[in-house]
Amino acid sequence: MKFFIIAYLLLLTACQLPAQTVSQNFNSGNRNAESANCWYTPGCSFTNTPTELIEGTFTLRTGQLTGGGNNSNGLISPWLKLTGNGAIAFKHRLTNFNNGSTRRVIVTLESATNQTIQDTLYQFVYGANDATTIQSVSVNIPAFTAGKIYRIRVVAFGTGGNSRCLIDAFSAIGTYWSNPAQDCKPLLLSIDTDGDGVVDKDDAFPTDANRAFSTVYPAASYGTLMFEDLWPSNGDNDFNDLVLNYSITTITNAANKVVELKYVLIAKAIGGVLKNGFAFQLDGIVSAKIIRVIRSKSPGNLFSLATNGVETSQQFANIPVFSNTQNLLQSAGGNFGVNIDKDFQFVTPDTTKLTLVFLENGVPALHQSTITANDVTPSLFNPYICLNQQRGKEVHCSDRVPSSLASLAFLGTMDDKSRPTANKYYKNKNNLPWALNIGSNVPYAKEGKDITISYLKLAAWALSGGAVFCDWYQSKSGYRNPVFLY
Amino acid sequence: MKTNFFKNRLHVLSTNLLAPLFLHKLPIHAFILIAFTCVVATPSCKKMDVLAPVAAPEKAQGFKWLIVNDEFTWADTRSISLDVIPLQTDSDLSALLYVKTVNDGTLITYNTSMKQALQIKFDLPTDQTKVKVVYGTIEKIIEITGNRIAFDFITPIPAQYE
Repeated sequence: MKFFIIAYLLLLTACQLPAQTVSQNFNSGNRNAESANCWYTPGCSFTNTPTELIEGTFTLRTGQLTGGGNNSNGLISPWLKLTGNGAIAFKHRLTNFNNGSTRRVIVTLESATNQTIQDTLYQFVYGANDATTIQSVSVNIPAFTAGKIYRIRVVAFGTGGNSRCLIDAFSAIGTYWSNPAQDCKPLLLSIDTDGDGVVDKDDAFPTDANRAFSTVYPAASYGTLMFEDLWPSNGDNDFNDLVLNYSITTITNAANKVVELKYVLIAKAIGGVLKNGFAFQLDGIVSAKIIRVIRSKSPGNLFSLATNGVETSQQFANIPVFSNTQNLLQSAGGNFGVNIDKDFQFVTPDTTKLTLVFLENGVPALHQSTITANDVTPSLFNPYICLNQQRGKEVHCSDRVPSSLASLAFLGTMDDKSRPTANKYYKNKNNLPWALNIGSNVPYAKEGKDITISYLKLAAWALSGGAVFCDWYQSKSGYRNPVFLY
Repeated sequence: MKTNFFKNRLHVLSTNLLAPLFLHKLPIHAFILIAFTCVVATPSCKKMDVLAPVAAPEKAQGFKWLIVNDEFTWADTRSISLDVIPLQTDSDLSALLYVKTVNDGTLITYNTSMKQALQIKFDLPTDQTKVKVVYGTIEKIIEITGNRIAFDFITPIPAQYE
């Protein structure tokens, strides 16, 4: 990859020549909004009183000019890169000229270099006869400002009385040089090594122009999947027939397009004897969007793979992970199950890593459009097991759609009360599931230990419809019975 | 007391109704025993069913005894949609917009300019009631009510420019 270092000024258009014209007419009527855009108006308000308007729908109105030498009553522009030519223009007048002495308005420059106010470019002293006459001002921008960063201040002064200054139709030749996302400070030179438009300090891949950001779900650690595998019959509800941890990393580029989805799946425990397979579906994502699947190991013979590595004959992308739990994790000494009883030897969990490639050098799969992170939120992750080498006998989390290869004949049999027409799946007559997906790395129940006596708030959470104890899986006091957890 | 009740009733029965028959020749305790046997042998006795012991409390515990609302999804996250309200600005700069948990766990990252209207979707754990949205030095805590929230770039005017 060709390396080059660019002094990148946060947005190349900021350096364009000829210079821009920046202007302010106050017609938003919103001081906060203009402040967010780095136009400050200390001591002022935006008036739409008809007798006070100079132009448009709003005009800037200072506070009463009684502050004498107070230097903060007026308009402060954003930082601008000046060119040393062109003009500053604006209009002004007083509301009245009564009971006061000196009234004047000045224009000064504030240098970004030393942030001192200097160089009075313009001064107008109001007299009683011209105070309420609109003055149209054009002030030449001095040559010494060329290529330098300044703010322009239009400030009104006065002593005594209640006159206010009205200012409107401000413009200046110069390039907007503030950063509204950084407290309106002047733009800084930043390095963008790979030239993708994201500066190195924000770029998770500063030398790779095709990648920029990486977001991991769950944010803190792994999620946990727990399955019962006697479906469609009810099980013993220890939810440890298969236990896996998972994490999902979304890699996007500078344009927020998904480059890759990376999965880590860790099979931790097997609390049964069935030879179950495991896969997941990305609901709504067609298989063709995936250029290829990069695997750390083969998923085995239970699944048929297309050339891009997803499963064949599926409406949505289905990614097989492994075919047989009994081959994946093997108990030591022929004991029942794996990692479900502390009396037996611990077996090292098995890790599978997968990468789904959606963009290659910025280009999507043939005839496919790009997708954003909005299109692949973690809720699309639809994991399931295939029971005892029967590809069509799938068990998903509650109300998750089966894949195209699921045998629908099992639905609604024995204890399963799925109602596909109502989008209800994988729940029994009491609406209890056969699988749980928890967005946290949590321990699982030991063999034969009901999950509700292991996680003491789960029942209340479920019975309340999720209104209470949303954190039932956490390790807070009174939430778990550690004796029953592995 | 129940024993006395039945004993008294059987005594009345024996002396008033059955006495004319042969039972008057039996001692009272034998009569009571015979009568009681007849009573318990009678099927469909509602009184005995009502008094029959219920399932022991421990049998009613456990996952399988739960009856849960059909609409409950058993999910511990929910989908939230964030509307980013653009700012009318002279700046074309892009920066990263982060949506985070209040504990600074990043939920989603988006590269955007302040001029761009956006809708960003993310999944939020159900026990989280707020999120933090960060854009440069702009940081706002947003309360989650429903599944749609909004963020804008407007912050209080700095004190020195108020």
